[in-house]
Amino acid sequence: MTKLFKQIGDEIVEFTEADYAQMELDKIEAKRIADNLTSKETSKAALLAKLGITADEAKLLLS
Amino acid sequence: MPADFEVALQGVDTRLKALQPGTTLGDLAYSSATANTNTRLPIGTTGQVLAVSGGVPAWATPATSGLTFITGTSFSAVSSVSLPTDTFSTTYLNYKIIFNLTAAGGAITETRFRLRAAGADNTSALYSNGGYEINSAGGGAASSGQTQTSVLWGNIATSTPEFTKFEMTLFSPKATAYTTFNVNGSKGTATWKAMTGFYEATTSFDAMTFYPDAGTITGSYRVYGIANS
Repeated sequence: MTKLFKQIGDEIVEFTEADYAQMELDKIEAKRIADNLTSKETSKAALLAKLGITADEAKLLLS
Repeated sequence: MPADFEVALQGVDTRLKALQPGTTLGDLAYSSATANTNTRLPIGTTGQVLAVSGGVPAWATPATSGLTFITGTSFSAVSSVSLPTDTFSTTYLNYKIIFNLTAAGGAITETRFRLRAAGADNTSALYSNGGYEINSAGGGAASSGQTQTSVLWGNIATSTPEFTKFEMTLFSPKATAYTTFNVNGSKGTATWKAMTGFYEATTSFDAMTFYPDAGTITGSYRVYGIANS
């Protein structure tokens, strides 16, 4: 595994086990958020297709 | 030496000392209310300026105003960069941070930041933000995040990492009040972004951390305290 380093002020130190663990948690969180966004976009596209209108036309309806 | 002459010289010495009362390097003298008698003004300390107090000259420490540099450094090929502990203190309520990325390495996707206290990043899901970005092709998009464990600034184009720079105004990080922030700058390939947000608790923070999702970053930061007057 590649060693990772963090800098605090002028001091450079190697990632601790907690840092590596937090990074993995962050990756999971980032993927969950990205998946959620993708899911919303997919649902929107499916709904627009079902209604047979464009996104701009949908905005017009809501304005 | 005749006794009379010695007495006369002592009188001259006394008179000269009254006119030039300085005793130490840098001392100044100013006229006093008594004729032919000056008053000694001892040298002040570094940074003091000459002012007037009670009708006579006096050294005074000028009030600080505007931005005061607190800390700053460069960093090279690191996976995260944190401000030193106690960068934020009770001396200033608000801060200005300049973050300047010059290079990136590895599989970087996004850059983020977190607030920090007592040497540990705060990862509570209490960060919220909203913003808007426009790229050089004219495309625009809103961006937001609610109750997340960090704040997403934006992507880095590894071919042009130097586009990633921002200035942040950070409000009341040290105070036991909500910490809020306004961020304005560029990210990715010629994309401007403006964002505002907050940490939804009255936690007191003394530093913050910037980091990419993956890969390494190279650049520099500068932190300034904003004087209240």
